[in-house]
Amino acid sequence: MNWLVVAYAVFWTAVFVYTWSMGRKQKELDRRLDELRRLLADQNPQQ
Amino acid sequence: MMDRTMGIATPAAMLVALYFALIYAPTEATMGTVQRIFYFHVSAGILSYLAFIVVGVASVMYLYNRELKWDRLAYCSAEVGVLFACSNIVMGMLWAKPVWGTWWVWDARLTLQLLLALIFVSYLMLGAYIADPMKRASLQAVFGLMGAADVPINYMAIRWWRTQHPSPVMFGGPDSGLATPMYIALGVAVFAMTLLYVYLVRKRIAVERSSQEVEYFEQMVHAR
Repeated sequence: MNWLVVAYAVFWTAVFVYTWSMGRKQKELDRRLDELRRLLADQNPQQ
Repeated sequence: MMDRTMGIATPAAMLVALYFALIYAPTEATMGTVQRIFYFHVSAGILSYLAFIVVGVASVMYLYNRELKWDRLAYCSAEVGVLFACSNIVMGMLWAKPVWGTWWVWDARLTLQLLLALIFVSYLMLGAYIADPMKRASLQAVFGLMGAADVPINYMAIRWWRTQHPSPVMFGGPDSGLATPMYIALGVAVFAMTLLYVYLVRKRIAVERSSQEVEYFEQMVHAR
């Protein structure tokens, strides 16, 4: 029984950590994109 | 819309698969409850094969028409494939300890599955060390294609060589097979795992796209 619980816990933890790390990375990239877009707009105020 | 649907359908399907594996399927007579690891262990293995076959097909497509979208698909599928392959290996080890009395044996199937995971870990590392995107994509495509060639050998390993790993339960000849409720539980697990694969690859591709967009904007900012 213990091995079964450990096996399923390992699987779900791996999937959860991977999904969470992807979500975190996506948020970080979105923030950086906004920052860069703002920076470009400041460099080119006429556009 | 598609993302939202997948975001709901995938965890729901995974929970249903968990119900079928832990409650619906009957307890195996010899091994007892630990045999229930089988449903997620086998489906993670099948999905690792699928992920690496996608890498192979996408690599051929990239080498044929040099479109970076194929390289992106191959890379993201490889990453998710490594996740499935490692889960498959670890769950197999957790099953082997109580059943075989050992975590690991250098059996043909186990060794080839470990090799397959390591090939694609190297594939991902290769991508991290080459800066030029076209050069990186070409090298990875060749490497990915060679890695995908390991999949059929791995699949046939338990048919060609009779070693420690259990013989095939599907398409394995007259002595193979499972009780119908076990087949159903396995089918549900494979279906749920396929949804999970599609969901994770789509998410990973979105991250990769954003990453390339950031790279592009950073170059524009530095160019001014």
